[in-house]
Amino acid sequence: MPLMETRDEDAVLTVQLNRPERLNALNAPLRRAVGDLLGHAAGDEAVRVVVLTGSGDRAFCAGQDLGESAELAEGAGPEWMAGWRVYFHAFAHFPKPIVAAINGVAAGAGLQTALLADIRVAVPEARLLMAEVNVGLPAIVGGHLLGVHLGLSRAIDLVLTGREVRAGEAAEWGLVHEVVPPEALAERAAAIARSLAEKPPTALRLTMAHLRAGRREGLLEAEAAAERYQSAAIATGAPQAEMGRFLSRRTGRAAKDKQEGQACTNT
Amino acid sequence: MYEYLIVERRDAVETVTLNRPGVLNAWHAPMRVELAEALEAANAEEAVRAVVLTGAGDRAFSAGQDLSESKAFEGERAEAWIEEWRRLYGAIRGMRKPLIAALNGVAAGSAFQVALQCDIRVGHRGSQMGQPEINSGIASTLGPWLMKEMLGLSRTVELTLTGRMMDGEECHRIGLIHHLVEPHEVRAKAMDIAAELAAKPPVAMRLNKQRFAEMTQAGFEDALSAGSRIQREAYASGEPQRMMEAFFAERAARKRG
Repeated sequence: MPLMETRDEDAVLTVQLNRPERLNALNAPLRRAVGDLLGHAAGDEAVRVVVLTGSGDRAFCAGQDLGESAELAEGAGPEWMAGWRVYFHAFAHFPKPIVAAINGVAAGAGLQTALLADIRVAVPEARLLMAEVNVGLPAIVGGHLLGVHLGLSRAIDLVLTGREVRAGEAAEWGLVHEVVPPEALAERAAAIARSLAEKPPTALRLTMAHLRAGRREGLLEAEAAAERYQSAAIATGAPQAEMGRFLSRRTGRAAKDKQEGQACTNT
Repeated sequence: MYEYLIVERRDAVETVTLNRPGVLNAWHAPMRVELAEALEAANAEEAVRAVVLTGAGDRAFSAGQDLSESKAFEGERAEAWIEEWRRLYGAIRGMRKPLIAALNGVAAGSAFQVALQCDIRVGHRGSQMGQPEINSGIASTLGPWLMKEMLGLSRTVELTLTGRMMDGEECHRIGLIHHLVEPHEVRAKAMDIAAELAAKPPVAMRLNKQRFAEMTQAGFEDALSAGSRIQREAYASGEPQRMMEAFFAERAARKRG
């Protein structure tokens, strides 16, 4: 199963991205599973808060599965982009709080996923990055989300350099709300979720509706721009060449370390 | 080739040095035209993949507007002045290549704004930055727009109304300076970052740059049109000219004393 769910008695649904061998990279089945699950949880009165985390001890989510995007058949682009749209919309319309328990690297679409959550708790070793530029892809939704959370100065730096930021620095910036040791992460995220689940429900529901609505227009505009910019990039042939180089470097490394791997997003 | 700039190229990195150290690299209209031309040339030259912008000497990146020019402005000239900024800022915003500011010293007023429109900023403890226009009786529109995009409204209002200069450490803490290094390391660090960015895939780099410009275009246009309106009113009141005359009189008195 690409996704694992656990429900506790306190109305908290814990969702685990479960492709640890690929650092929980997002491929089409995983994206669909996340979208479906949020769709159901939105209408399930027993669920008040969602905790989102990654399987294993290395990655929250390494982002777009580059193996998938490198193998896209000609003409499959629109369907692939539509899959991403459904994924992001599931977050943009989710009426309840989401707590991200960032248990390891969050790159590209993985970091975007964390930024679409409401509260972020991370382990000190967690690395956050918008890696797209390093594989020849523009980072449009990533740039938008970083801009919203950090302001443009830090957003531009991270998008153009593709450099990684550790959890501690991200916490100084306010991007991560708490840093906790790996053995305490799940319990701390659950405790935050329970405290949110205990808030007066009407106030929480109305507040969430207002927060989501306020951010939706910017997110949807960024998504529309992402489709234009991705098409422009792909039409030059440059991203395909960069991704090929990236994947062959990874294959080389994998010979030494079978677990090694990293992915990144398309947006 | 340039009277007020030094332009050098090493590999794929072009370095543009603001070169009026006698007046802390403050700029007047001819220097602003040169800077826009140098950036447009670097943008058009395929061999250039990143640009470093810095100031001559060890005191200032640039003090911003040369007050000996603006003290003579009248309402109409002040409006034309805003159009000159459209040209320079347009050249910066149109860059398809990353622009790295090596903040060798103070960046005040419009020089602070130019620094904020670079992509990556490297500075040291003495790299003071801020928007002191209010102290010369000049109203601010472009500066607050840029600050708000980066800092949010709380810090923007405080910095605009007080005209306070921040030291390099504060700029680093609030995210305006990305890399804080020793003064003698500023230029080398900026060159390292420029070389790193020059090696990134150029199509993705260009598209990312284009998108950030697109995201901020409406705000830029709004700040410029507000600028024309507000500078005309400010200069028509005679207050900026009086404040700047007072500045020069005080400086002359200090020199005599």
